Amino acid sequence: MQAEVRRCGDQHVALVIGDAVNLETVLRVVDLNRRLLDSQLSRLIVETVPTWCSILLHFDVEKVHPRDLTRLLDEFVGALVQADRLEIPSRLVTLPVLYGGSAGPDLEFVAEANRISTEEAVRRLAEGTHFVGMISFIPGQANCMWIEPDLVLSTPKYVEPRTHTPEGTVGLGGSSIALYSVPSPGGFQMVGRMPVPTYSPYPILPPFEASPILLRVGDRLRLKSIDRDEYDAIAQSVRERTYIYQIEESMLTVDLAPR
Amino acid sequence: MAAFNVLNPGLSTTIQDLGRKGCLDLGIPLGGAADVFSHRIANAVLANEQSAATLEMMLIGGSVEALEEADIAVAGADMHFQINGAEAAMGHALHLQTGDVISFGKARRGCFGYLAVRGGFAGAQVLGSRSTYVAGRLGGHFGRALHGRDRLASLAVSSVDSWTADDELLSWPLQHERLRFVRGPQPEYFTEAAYRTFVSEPYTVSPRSNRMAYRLTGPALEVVSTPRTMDTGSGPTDIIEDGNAVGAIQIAGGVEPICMGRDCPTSGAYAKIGCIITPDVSRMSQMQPGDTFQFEEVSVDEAYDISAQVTAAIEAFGQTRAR
Repeated sequence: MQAEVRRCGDQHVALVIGDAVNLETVLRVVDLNRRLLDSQLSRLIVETVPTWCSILLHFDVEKVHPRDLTRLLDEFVGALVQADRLEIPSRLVTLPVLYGGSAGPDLEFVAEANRISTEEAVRRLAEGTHFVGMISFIPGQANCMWIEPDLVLSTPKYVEPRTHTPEGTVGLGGSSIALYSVPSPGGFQMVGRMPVPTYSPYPILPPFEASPILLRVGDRLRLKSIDRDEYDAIAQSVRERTYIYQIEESMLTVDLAPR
Repeated sequence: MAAFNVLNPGLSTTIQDLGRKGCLDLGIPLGGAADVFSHRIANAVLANEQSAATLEMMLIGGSVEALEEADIAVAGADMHFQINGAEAAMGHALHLQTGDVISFGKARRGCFGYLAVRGGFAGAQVLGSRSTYVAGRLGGHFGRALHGRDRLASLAVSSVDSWTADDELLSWPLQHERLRFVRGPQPEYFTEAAYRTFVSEPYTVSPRSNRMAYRLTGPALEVVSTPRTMDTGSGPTDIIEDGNAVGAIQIAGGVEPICMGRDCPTSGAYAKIGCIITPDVSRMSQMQPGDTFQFEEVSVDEAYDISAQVTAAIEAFGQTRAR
């Protein structure tokens, strides 16, 4: 395998393996990240941040000099053989989304950008399976790629980012989806909103007892379309702490193109 | 054990420690003391663990009343530290009687002041750290900055030793005329002329700076024209979102440097011209809006040696100073 090691100061390096946002590249990143953390090198690593095309790696300066780390990473990656089939643990999580209207004010823009109706845009969002490739930027923000190539939507991002995005917003930028977990600035087109949290610092519902973050890299999401009445009823069940998340444990098997 | 009543919370006062490791892949930043050097010195004066939580005050400090006897130490920004209205010494272990009032004002020099208590401040430990992360509402005192009438407590005391920090140690993080950086990870976005400009012109800290990021104003930099795609975005230095290290210097829109602080987003989509070396992140954090400084480029080997020396100086202070 090949990866470029880039300097990020005296305690970090980036391992870069691609230059475009697509499912294939992010799967390779997830695989490389897992192999790195399972390897002998893991004792030198404080933590890693897998993103679309690269892995930011925080290393322990008390255990390795940055010069030696670069050499060790080059050797490690060079000796890796890219598997042609990936099998990774991947939960299937279904989340309810109210699309369009005030919940998704940019849905029409997205439909126009793809030259389809808003109904067709919602169908592609709701019927797609979305692979969580990175959790980043703000606590618990899941960033996803469509697994089905024929359902993919693409759109430019905001030219000037917004200062505020409501929590629960489903955003589309380029051809990736971001689930805004806490109120934050943002540049993705807002297509819908979830009545359920994906981040909670307090254990208000069972998934948050173990961690404030609902989703994980490697999860697959279904963003089921709901109407306003269903949205209100689910929001009420979250307030009453009776909402039950639909989460299935399973495995994902994908064939990768040979390189 | 000690307890305090918050009389005046100051501008933004939070419980901080060394930060939480292993959560970046959940989108949760490192966090912890913005000037970790001063945090460590304040703890070392009281022979606390380095990971003991301190109170971090930003720009304008507040006041607290001791509800029990306590040993405290102060380091970092010079914020008119007083006990019962009389000027008190930074870098010394000081004993408080019940009813004593510690107060701080506007920072004369520096931005973040640290108040340590023997044993360290109590506070919610979340994901391995007591650091307050306000945007994520977690850690420290209910995940938020202090309010008036909050009650604070310290943890059990493990040591009764104390040392005195000299001016050289206390003022080290406040010397920010030059911040050193290592080139990368996206040097290909910037011309050699841009790097020359970057290290020869002064930069000024913008008022829009906080624990997340330090925004700077300075000269425009010459950017290498790079093909723009829907993945990157339309700006000249927009990149495909990648991981953010504390100290990374993003160049937004090709003109505005944004230096990542301890609470920075875990990823970003602007090209990074360089990364400030670890010890100088403490110095960066101590700059006030309006302060000016220059960047200085160092090699990664030099950065490694400087970091090791600074760490050794802090550890030597904690271990060998005579009472």
